[in-house]
Amino acid sequence: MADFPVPPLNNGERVYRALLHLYPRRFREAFALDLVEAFRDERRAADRRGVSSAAFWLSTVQDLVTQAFSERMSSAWRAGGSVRRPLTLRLMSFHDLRLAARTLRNNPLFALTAIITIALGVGSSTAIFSVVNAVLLRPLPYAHPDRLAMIQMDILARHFMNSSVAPGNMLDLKARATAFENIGAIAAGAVPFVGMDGKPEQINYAVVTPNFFTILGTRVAFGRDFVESDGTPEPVPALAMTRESTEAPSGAPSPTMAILSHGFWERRFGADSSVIGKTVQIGRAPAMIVGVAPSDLRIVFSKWAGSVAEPDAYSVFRIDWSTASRINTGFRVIGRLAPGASLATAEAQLGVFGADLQNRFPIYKGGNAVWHAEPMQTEIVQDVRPAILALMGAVLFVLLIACANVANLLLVRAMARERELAIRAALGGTRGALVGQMFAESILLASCGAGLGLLFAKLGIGLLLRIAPSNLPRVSDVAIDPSVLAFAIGAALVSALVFGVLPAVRASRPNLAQTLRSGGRSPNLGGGKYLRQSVVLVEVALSFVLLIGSGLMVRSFMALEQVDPGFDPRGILTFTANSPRNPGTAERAAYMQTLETRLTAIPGVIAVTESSPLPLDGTDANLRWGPMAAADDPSLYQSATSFFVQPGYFAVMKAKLIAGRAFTAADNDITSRAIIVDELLAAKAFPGQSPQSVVGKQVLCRSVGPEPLAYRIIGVAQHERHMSLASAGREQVFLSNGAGGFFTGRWAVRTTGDPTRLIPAVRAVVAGIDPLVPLGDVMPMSAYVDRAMAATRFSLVMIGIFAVVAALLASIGLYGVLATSVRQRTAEIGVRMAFGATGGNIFRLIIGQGLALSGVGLVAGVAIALMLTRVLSSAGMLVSVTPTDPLTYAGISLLFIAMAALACWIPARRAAVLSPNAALRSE
Amino acid sequence: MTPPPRTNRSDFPPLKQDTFYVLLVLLSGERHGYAIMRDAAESSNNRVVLQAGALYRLLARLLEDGLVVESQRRPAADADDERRRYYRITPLGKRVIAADAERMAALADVARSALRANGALA
Repeated sequence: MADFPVPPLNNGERVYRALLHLYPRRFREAFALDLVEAFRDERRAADRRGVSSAAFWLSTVQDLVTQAFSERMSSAWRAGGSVRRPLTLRLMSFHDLRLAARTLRNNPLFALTAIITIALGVGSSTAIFSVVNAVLLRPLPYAHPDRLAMIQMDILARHFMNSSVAPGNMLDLKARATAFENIGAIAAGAVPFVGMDGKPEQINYAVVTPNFFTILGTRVAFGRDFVESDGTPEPVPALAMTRESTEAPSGAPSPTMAILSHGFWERRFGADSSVIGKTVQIGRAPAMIVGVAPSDLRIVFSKWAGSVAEPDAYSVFRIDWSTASRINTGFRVIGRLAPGASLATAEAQLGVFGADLQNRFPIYKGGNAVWHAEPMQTEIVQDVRPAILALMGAVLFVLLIACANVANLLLVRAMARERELAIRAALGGTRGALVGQMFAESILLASCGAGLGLLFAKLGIGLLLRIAPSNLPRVSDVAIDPSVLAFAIGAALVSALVFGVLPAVRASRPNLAQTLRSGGRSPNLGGGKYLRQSVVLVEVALSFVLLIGSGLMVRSFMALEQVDPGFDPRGILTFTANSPRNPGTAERAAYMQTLETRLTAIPGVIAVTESSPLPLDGTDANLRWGPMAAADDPSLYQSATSFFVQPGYFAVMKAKLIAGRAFTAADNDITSRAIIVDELLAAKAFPGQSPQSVVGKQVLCRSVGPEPLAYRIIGVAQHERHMSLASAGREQVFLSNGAGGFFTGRWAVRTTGDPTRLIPAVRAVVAGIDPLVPLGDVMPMSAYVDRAMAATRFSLVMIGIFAVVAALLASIGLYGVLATSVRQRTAEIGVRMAFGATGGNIFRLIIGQGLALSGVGLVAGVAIALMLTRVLSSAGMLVSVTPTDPLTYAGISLLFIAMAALACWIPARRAAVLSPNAALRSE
Repeated sequence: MTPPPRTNRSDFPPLKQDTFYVLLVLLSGERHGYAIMRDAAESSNNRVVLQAGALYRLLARLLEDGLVVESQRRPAADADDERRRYYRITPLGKRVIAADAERMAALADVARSALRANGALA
């Protein structure tokens, strides 16, 4: 067709060109070249505008498919000789629908297979699309959410990314980053709460800047919002977010102003609006309730701000920003872009701000700290986005396979009904009427399928929510909503059009004379054989890819179960017991000592310790460390995770010490300079030296005071998995709890049996010492390990379900093609038998045909899998297994061949037991 | 039976917005496909954003109806050496868009005077 040389195509253009085959041939021949050129131009323009390639392809394919389909429909109409008119569903009447329902009732097996197939495709894709929609697509629930950004710092020299911000930088930040009309901060965590009834409980608490709700664009439900004067500094911070202040204040603190979350107000105060003005105790300070947040407020970034769940209550930072620390990070910063300002401008201003900080403060220069702003939505989902998109890809495969299967079913059926249609045409049925009826059947199938699919989706979402990993943001928003519903109905409708009408147009153009002349003979099933076979081939290949994906996930999950976290989580009960009182260091130490002694006395308790944080509890704790030379060269400082532990830690956790000793009671003191480092830090600080020789050496650590101090290494411990079970993470430092000033984190109690059976006894002990101390986060240590495996388990279950559904659908497809083939070759089989072929020969013939088909599909599947499974590893979903793991490929191939053989078995069996007489007579 | 060819501007129903903008863009000179898409988006303030598939189906209809013809292929002006197909508006095409513009103007007049009578328009 090309009357001039085709320009060289790149891969994307080749794909696009292949897709052009969806157009009718005449249109394609006229415009293919121009379409490819326009595609190339569009792509360049999209690149220039920074459109993601996924978005570009999505819109391109959508355009191409709808246009190609419309073009096919209108050219079919014109070829049929009707006057050009807009395609309306005048095609189908109520009468058609009734007829279709009757026809389908008469073929329940066909109807059921088709409906379930559509339902599986629509159901699984709707379920996953609900997640994609809630987590990735739906705008954040704030006013103009696209104007919100998160401001963070990367400490490049310490490989420490997305650090929180120190309060002392806030004023400078506001002054420099003028592209933001408003900048605020939040820090969240769990604290004790004591209500007016005197009952304590642990709540999630956020301390914010007074402009916080303004930045989000939300208003309190009633009462008042925070005002600047709420942030007037107190001599002592109301909530010690740091270990800075270790002494009790003199005199009672003045109350902080608090806003309650709507849910907490309903639960704890029975939705009593007279709470405004009342004083409660939050953290270690009295708090006066001034307002209640709106019920639709969601803090979707609470995880980022340091809390595992949404805050129950808010109050305002009461610090003097001009004298606040420039090195104690912990403040998460949010900015709202000014009207007309762009993120690029903001980034540029942050660059200047960062450079200025580096010039003024050697510690920033040494760390090579750079600042950046991330759109809030991007930042929130960046951890989970690749995995969700991979799941979306997997589910699209399922949808595709389902479509292919139904297409196949309808195609076979249309061909089998060719004679029926021919007779009706001969009796005066118009083409419109015939197409209309088949259209009605497809619509009916699609609606039933979509209905059942929605039910599947509902069940599927229920399952999803139960096993969703905790790092999935906004997971509580996952639900079938109108846009998801539209997606499901759209998918079903497209299915109906593609599956139903194309075969219908084809079937409604029967060669009347020939079909009728064939008399009573077997219907013409020969046509479209290759089409059907290639459809099945695609199904086989795609389902194989999914099976490989699930195989890799199974291997990852097994690998994760084998990971040694560096401690033994079995038999440990953990909980928090934070005091709302404001005692001094000595009282805190005494409290901990008493609690430890009384817990140890509980029958069934082996040993007790406390650690802040506990491994895998999701809390990160930073500590700056460096070799002694870092005193003169700040660029040598690195970041480590710090654990402040009671002396019993290593015994209770069964954490291994490679060299040296554990902490003793003598180390548990504010003046202690003894630390235990993990093997990673030992190797980094003293390269090439044995752990034994590292013991006794010194390193610099900044933990409590403003400046780093020299600490003596008393032991080298095995590295523990902390922020992730799948990867090692950074180096770790253990300090005695006393060295940090006796602040409590999480308690860990090693028991002789099931740890949860000790909960009542533990509760009694804690309440017995101080009734105002609430017990919080009571769970066995194994639950933290379990939670760390949740993401992998989630992907495993999802991809596993898709793979099973896909394999099932592909088997049905394979079966359908072979069964048709046997029907079509009945006469031939009769002849073969008449000439002496045994049942065994025939069986092998048919099985061979099926296996050849699946063999080709399998080879294609391997090729596609080799290309696509890389996505899984780049999405961080694989653990200790390469995407080309030979064992997985071999195992899945065997499984697959067995499955294909099973699908071929029934038709082959049927062929083998045909009586030659009957078979010949069928001709 | 094929539909009778439409030769008179009165044979055409009111133009759809995308058709209108494609013809409008071609009024100011011939264009290749992508240039039509780009200029249509620009002159309509991004109200008409056509993608390749939609554009060429539309062009196919306009060619069929004789509102647009193909001029010969030649290198694009924007400096690459690919040869492109250019489209030009026909006299019939010009008459059709003029008629449509008049139709809309008349419509606007009617609406404006009605609104003014209602005091909804100063």
